[in-house]
Amino acid sequence: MTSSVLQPATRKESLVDALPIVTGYFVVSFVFGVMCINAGLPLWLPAAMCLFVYAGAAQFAALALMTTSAPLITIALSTLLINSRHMLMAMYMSKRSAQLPISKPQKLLYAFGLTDESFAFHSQRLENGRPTSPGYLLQFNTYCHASWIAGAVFGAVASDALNRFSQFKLDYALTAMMIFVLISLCSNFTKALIALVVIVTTCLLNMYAPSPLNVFIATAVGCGAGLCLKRTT
Amino acid sequence: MPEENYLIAAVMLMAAITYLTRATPFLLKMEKSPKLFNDIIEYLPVAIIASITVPALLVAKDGSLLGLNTDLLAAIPVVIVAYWSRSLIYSVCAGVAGHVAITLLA
Repeated sequence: MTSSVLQPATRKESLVDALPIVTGYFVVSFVFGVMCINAGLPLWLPAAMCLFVYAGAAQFAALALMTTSAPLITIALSTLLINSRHMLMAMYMSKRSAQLPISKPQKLLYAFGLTDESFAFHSQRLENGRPTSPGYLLQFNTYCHASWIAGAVFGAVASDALNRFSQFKLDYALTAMMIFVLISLCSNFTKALIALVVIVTTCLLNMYAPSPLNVFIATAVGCGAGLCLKRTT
Repeated sequence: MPEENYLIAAVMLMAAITYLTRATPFLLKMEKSPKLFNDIIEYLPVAIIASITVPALLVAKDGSLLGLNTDLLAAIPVVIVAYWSRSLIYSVCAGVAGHVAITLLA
């Protein structure tokens, strides 16, 4: 670990930056905990899932599969398919982290906490050229992961109180954060155009052939459009 | 309730697969990569985030169009606040407050 981990300034900054994700994760995993108990699963399951798996969409999909006692291979494939997009994100972080003084064990620890939302926030920070230490990245992920686990445990314990709680979708904080990141990543014409191309492509693909792999196709089309634009101008 | 061994196996499998998809790219040597790859890397975040965020507001999981919905409408204050303030916390507050307001009014 670098000394930056011990610096209170980094700790405070990463906690403040992580707050929207921490709040959103708590709400989403709270719902996950409630659903697990309502589906008749034991209390340890949502806690273990959130601790060891730490993947939102894949966990909800697995919950549905497990309650119907689907074969393990189905659960494995659904997890692989839903999480495959994280390979793209990890590729980006792997490339960009070459500029940081980050060690191999730190990278592998970071990979465990890589999610859509942490990737969105960290990539935006790195693209904007803000100084980022490994300690900052790892603390940020730890706060998010801790609230993910805490939410599931609270939700499982308080599973009866769900109905009144779910009237307002407070987890919209996550969507709002993603939109904010998207807006701030559209820093020039090319990137705004890529975003537009990707949105249209994904919508069309999802309308006619819904699949978690559509993210790959749309990302490739968008990056291709960006490269063409760069060549011609 | 499904059998305990089944649940333990499911959690372990999911943990292994999830971690592998996230960790393997970090094991690749990235120092010497062609220029084309560097250009693509720059575009990856905006493309991925556009793909996983906005279409979810427009198209349902089964492929049908969602039309005007609360999530989409609440995105309007987020975009406006994000564009003008460049502040994450204001954007998130605008989105959640907008979402609650629309839920109450609808």
